Amino acid sequence: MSTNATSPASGKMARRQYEPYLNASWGVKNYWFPALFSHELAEDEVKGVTIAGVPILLRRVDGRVHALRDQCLHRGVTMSVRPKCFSKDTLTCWYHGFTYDLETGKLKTIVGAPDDPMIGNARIQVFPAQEKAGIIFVFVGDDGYEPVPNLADDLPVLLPDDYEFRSPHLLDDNIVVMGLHRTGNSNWRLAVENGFDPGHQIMHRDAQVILSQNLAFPLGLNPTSPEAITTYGEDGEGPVGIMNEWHSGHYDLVMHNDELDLHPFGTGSVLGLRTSMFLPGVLMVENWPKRGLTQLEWYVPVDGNRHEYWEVILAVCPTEADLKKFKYEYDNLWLPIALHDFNDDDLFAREQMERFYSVDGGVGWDDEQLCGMDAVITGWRKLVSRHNRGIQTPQNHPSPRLD
Amino acid sequence: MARLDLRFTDGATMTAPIAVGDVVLDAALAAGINLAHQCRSGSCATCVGKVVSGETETVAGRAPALLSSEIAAGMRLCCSLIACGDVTVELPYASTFTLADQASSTAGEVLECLPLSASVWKLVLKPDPSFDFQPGQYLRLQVPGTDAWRSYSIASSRDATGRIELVIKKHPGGAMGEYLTRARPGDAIDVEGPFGAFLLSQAKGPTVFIAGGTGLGPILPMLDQLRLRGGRAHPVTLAFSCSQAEDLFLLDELELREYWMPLLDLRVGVSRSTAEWEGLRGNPLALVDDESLLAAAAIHVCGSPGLVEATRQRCARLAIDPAKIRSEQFIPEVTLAGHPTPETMP
Repeated sequence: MSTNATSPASGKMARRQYEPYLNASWGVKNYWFPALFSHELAEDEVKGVTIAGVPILLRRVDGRVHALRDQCLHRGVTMSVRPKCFSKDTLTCWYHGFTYDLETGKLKTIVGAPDDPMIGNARIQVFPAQEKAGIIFVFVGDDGYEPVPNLADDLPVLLPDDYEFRSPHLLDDNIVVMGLHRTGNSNWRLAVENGFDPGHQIMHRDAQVILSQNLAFPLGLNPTSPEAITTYGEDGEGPVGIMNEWHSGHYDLVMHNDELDLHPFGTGSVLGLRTSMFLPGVLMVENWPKRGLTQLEWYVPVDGNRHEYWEVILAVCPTEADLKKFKYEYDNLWLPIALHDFNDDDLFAREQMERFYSVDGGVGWDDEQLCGMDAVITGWRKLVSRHNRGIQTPQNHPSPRLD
Repeated sequence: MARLDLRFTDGATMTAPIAVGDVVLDAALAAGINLAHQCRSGSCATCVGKVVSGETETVAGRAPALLSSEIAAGMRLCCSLIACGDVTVELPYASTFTLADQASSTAGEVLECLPLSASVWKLVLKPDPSFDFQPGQYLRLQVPGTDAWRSYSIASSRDATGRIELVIKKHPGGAMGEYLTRARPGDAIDVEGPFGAFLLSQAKGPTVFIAGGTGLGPILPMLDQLRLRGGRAHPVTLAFSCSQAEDLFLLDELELREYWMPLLDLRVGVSRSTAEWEGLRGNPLALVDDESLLAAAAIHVCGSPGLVEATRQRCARLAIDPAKIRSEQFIPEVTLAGHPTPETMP
């Protein structure tokens, strides 16, 4: 019963169509990326993160988060490893006392050389930062990029309230976000492509979240017409992304493999289960891990070989009782069986692909052999190639220098 | 006003006015002479030079990063050096450092040579690893087996390491035209360059490229540079035409750029109409029929002298600031005579 109606584009010319994506080993730039959970940065605390190879220092002052390049322009040291702040509106490098204005990044003084001519004439990059639903987002990209897009443009599409099987969105009222982030040892693109790959159901066959809910998880999902896949943002408006419309009738759900006599054991289904991927690499799984919840995942490039894997579950909790119940279920059910058991397998799979696709001489991007199940992956690559706001250049030796 | 003479290792001297009491580096930079420098506070020693004549002082309150032996030898840091009158300073590098171009002569090798259309060929060279260029620049090469030197714009991107592509209009009987038919991979080829100041405008806003025939060559890497440079994308128009449909070349590459750049308006035409051609007609300038677009854009034109002149005249009629037009013109290879060189207009 398996059909193979959609033949993904392959061959040299097709690969050239998504050449910009193949060059994006360090990510895309000029996007909002999650940097930390809000609770990870207390008042007056300083922490460092790396996004797309860019070292970024975060400091919270009077509740507000400031983001600056975490690299002193003098000798390039990472400032966040020994945070030093002598006033609310400055940040001082622990090494030689170069002191920067938090708002502008301008060199305001040098502790031991207050008359140096460089003062007032040099600065480090500052990054727009904002908090939404318990997550600190930082806009990472070119210095002075403007206008800075709305955060909503870099999140999964906000579907209308009456959209069939609509599930919670980060921008909904009373939204509660629970989750974690950890570092994955693979290129961010392998993580993205794993996230919404419709072909890897077999790997999750024995997952606790499937078995415990008695789900009839198909062995495979194969697109059978162009309507199986919806793209967003190609007109230049709103988020840019691609959605698998599982429920559309344009996916062939493979429930049996005759050769191996395999079939799912469960009988239940999740109504409205839908996966979609948006720039800069954020996955939305609607009605997962159960109907009425949404799982989001970001795959934030750290460098060419690693990504920060963000896994969060969203629920709308209008009352204290709703919140209490969601927290209880998160701690005791969704954290262990969805964000760990199920997602641990995904993380494992990406890390197993890394050697083939490695930026250090891997041949995977040239030698992979995509098949019928991979149409949406090709679609994603082309979408990124055509509609990105910039491809990050490798930052093997990052410099605080501003052009 | 006193006089500052700057002597370089290649024998060149550059002169700038300097007021008594002024800093040498400041006076040089003010005169547009880009001396090597960095910290401007006497610490990094990048701006070191040797005072060979004239009275000088050093900026008070600084400890210049110089050894006693260097100071004894007349070495000073230009950022901390004050003129008390006329002064002459020797710099430890060639005058070319202060210019955008750093041309050199290197040995290259032919990797590939093939026809792209009825009249245009592609010659692919493997340059010396030290060879670097800016999109829009050209190189000179000695046609193997002859004394003839020819100039061609580089048609490949800067990040295509180890590979330089040239698009060449084949003139039957010309030295290069004759060579193209006998070129073999591995042929040694002497290359000089890069040359030229036909560079991508840094202005933020719409961009127009007007390419006649092989004038498309330097436009291709400029288009990639534009796509990959930072900041928000703006509309780009590329008008390209050849005389006849069978002369058109690299349309697949252009279509890829059109795919990668949703804001690219690609207009391909032929100027000598033939019945079977169903696309646009006219020279590349005529393909840009939207005058408000010309008025708003940074304009880059590359092709025959006639095309460049026509573009300038049309822009003059529209009262467009000539500074917004960047151009490169090709003088076609004349049979066995002359060394055609792209001429860059300011």
